[in-house]
Amino acid sequence: MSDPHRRDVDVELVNVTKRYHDITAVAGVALDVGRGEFFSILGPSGCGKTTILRMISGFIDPDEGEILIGGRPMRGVPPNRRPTSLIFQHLALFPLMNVYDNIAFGLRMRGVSEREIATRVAAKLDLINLPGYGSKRVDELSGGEKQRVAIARSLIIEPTVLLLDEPLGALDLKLREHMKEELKAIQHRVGTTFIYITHDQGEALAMSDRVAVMSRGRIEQIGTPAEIYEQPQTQFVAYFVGENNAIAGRTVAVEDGRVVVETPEGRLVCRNPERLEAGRQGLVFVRPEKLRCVAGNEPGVETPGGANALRGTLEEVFYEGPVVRMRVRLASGRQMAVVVPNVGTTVLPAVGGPATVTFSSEDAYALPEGEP
Amino acid sequence: MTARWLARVTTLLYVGIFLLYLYVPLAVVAALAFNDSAMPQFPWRGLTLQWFAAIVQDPLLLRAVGNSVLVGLAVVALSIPLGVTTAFLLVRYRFPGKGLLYALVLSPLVTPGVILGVSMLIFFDSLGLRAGLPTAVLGQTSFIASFVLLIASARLQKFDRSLEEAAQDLGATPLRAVLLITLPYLRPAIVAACVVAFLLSFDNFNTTFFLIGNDTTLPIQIYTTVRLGLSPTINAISVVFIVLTVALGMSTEFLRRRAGT
Amino acid sequence: MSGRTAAAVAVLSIPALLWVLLLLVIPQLKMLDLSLRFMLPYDQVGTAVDVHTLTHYHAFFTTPLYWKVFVKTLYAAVAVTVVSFVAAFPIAYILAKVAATSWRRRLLILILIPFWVNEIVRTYAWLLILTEQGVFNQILGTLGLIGEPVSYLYRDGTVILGMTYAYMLFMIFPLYAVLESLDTSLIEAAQDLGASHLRVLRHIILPHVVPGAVAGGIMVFMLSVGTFVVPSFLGGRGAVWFVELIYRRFYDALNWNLGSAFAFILLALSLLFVVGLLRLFGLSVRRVIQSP
Repeated sequence: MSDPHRRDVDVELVNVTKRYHDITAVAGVALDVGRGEFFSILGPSGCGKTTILRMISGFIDPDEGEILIGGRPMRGVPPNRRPTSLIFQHLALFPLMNVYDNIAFGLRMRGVSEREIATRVAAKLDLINLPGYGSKRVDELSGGEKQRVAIARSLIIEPTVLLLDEPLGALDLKLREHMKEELKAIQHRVGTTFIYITHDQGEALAMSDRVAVMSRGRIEQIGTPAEIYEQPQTQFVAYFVGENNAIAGRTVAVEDGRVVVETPEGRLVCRNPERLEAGRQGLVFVRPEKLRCVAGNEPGVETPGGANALRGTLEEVFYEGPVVRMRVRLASGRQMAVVVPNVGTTVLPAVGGPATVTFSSEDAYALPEGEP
Repeated sequence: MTARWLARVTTLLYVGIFLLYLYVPLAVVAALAFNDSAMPQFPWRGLTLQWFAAIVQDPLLLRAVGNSVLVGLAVVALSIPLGVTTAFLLVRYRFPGKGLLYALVLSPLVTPGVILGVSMLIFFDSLGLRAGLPTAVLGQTSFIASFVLLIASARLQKFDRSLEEAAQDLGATPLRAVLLITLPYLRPAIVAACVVAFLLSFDNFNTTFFLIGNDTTLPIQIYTTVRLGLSPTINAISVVFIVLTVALGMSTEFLRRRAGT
Repeated sequence: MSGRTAAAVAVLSIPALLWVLLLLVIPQLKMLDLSLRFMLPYDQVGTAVDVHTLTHYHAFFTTPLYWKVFVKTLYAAVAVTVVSFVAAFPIAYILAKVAATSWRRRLLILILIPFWVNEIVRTYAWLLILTEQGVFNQILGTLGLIGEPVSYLYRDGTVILGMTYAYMLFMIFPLYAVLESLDTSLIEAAQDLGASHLRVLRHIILPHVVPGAVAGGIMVFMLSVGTFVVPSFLGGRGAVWFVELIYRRFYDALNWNLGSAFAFILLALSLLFVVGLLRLFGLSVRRVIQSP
């Protein structure tokens, strides 16, 4: 999993475009998903991710481009003949059938003998930890049980790719956390390629081998969860994934992979992943948990762990249990969010008192300013 | 407080009078079916069941009942497929002329029955089809299919299409998905529509009257008999007719509530 | 995918088109065509003399018997519709807003039962009541109010009474449906703000009721204008109503051409009534049909 690009490719999208009237839902998307990979497409609603999923499963055809599954072009192949299976957002379990008949459906469509169906359904019920549930009615199941039945129903036809359309959206928070682990575990056991779409970055980061972040029909960035989180390549990714503080300024010097940005808060030094040259407008991003906050804002105050220091006033402190969140207002009026772990040694400045926010040049990066 | 009391009394009085207005005429019909008098009139001359016995001995009446059942079943067999497939067409698809088709299939609901009857009489006659039970079936189907359409589309609109897509995704052809998933979902509505269609057919006079030719159905036979003169047998058959239609009506109400349409 | 959709539309259109064309459109066009031709002996139909003419429509407008019957039928249908609304509205309102839930269901069933009884039986009931030896005369006689039995049949008023009895229930259910959907708190809020009962009725309730009233009105009007049974039983042989006029052209006088013209006039009147009512209240067919 260290380098999924090297693995066999199961699903390949080549410059896929889909338009509805004059709206371009998907604009020239290209991506490869490796065999056995857990691949997520993350984006806000309306970004085109559902359209991509429906194109892969065959419910809509792309206007341009090609979709290949296992190397085979899929144009004109109807959903019932594709080696894919889709877990619907609201699961779409057949309400008039019991659990057994739901799971057996795909095999019956393939003309498998009832005897073999019985053994395979039983095996799938074991896989999802619901042995003996065959005769239950769908409406007798809990939310989590429904999820698992839907997964079993799809997996039993042994698809090359399992497509999941935000299946955890309808669950409550606790169950969602649990199902995340469960999904990941099931994927591990069966080894099927998963393509998972979601607008929830927590789900995408926690489960995926790789994540594609989408906005307005285009892919902004594809990478491992860590790459997406730590090294966003576009402003959209920086804003959309996780929380971020952004400070606008002008680059004044570039040296050794670092860039110096002149901002109203002073000069800041940070990473330069997009190789900005001097004299450009740029944004410096730094995540709240990478910041530290110390009392006092006189120029002489010590700034631990960082080359960069921003002076201001601690406006508010939110005690959230595992972490403490702070809001610091800088001299220019800009607010900075700071999150520090709630460990015994944390000493907080007084609310309303002077404070200095510091961070290292390694933890911040500059991106060219443009449309977010 | 007195104003409230007055409102209550007025309400009860109005409901009471209204119900009397609805039921007294029907009670008169029913009571005179049991009166031992050669004319359906008061005074009361004692209880008898002879008028009911007379029904069984009247071959015309029995034939009419038989025809009504036959026509009703045929109308169900025709109007259910017409109404249900058209519901699929109108609920599921967009196509040119959809608005016009929608207006046309619902137009029988607001067209006097005689017009349907007369126009089809003319058309069938021009084709050389003689008026009779088959033409009556076609005539009734023309508007009963509209009721079927309304009942079926109400349920179809509630259907979650991702169920059909899930079936396709699992390997079913689109047609199989409809047969295995959508039709079972529509079943309560179709059952309700069957009973409604049968009841409407069993009850129909206006359209049938023009298309039945020399044959009869129960309403036509009752009409003809009344025109010949009053007789307590008419009361007896009316009571039977009331019991049958009210039973059918009750079951449609129950079935439609269950089907959620 | 769009190819598949087109195929599905094509297949599903076949039964719909058969229905619409063979049972509705072609018969009605055929009827119109027949009404625009002379009545000819059988062997001349389709020959050079079989041309289009307005003679039957001309006959309708110039023969007082015909248009008077038409006007009477129209007038009676409007009267029945109005009376039905006035009498049915309080019942529908009581059902929807006044009656306690347990009573509402019982009352609904009580009103539904006569609704299911055939119009022939319901009209027959009034025939029994109103004939000379009927229940009504017997009661009046017993009370000493009349000496000689009076016949109430053969009067237009009796026909209107019979039609009202037979068709009024078609007004109640659409009215009930719209009233039930009216949020009771709206009425209470208006009263709370000091509106009188009459003003609540005028400004809150009646506007909401319009689609139901139109749906019910169309049903009652259509049934009244198209009834054959009620005048036939209660109007007697002397009184001719419009549908009977049509019927006679087809079965007694055997002038199908004139009969078709009458039938087409009735169809035009119905269409005009429906369209007029919808226009008047700015409603769509769909909204009215879904309301009951």
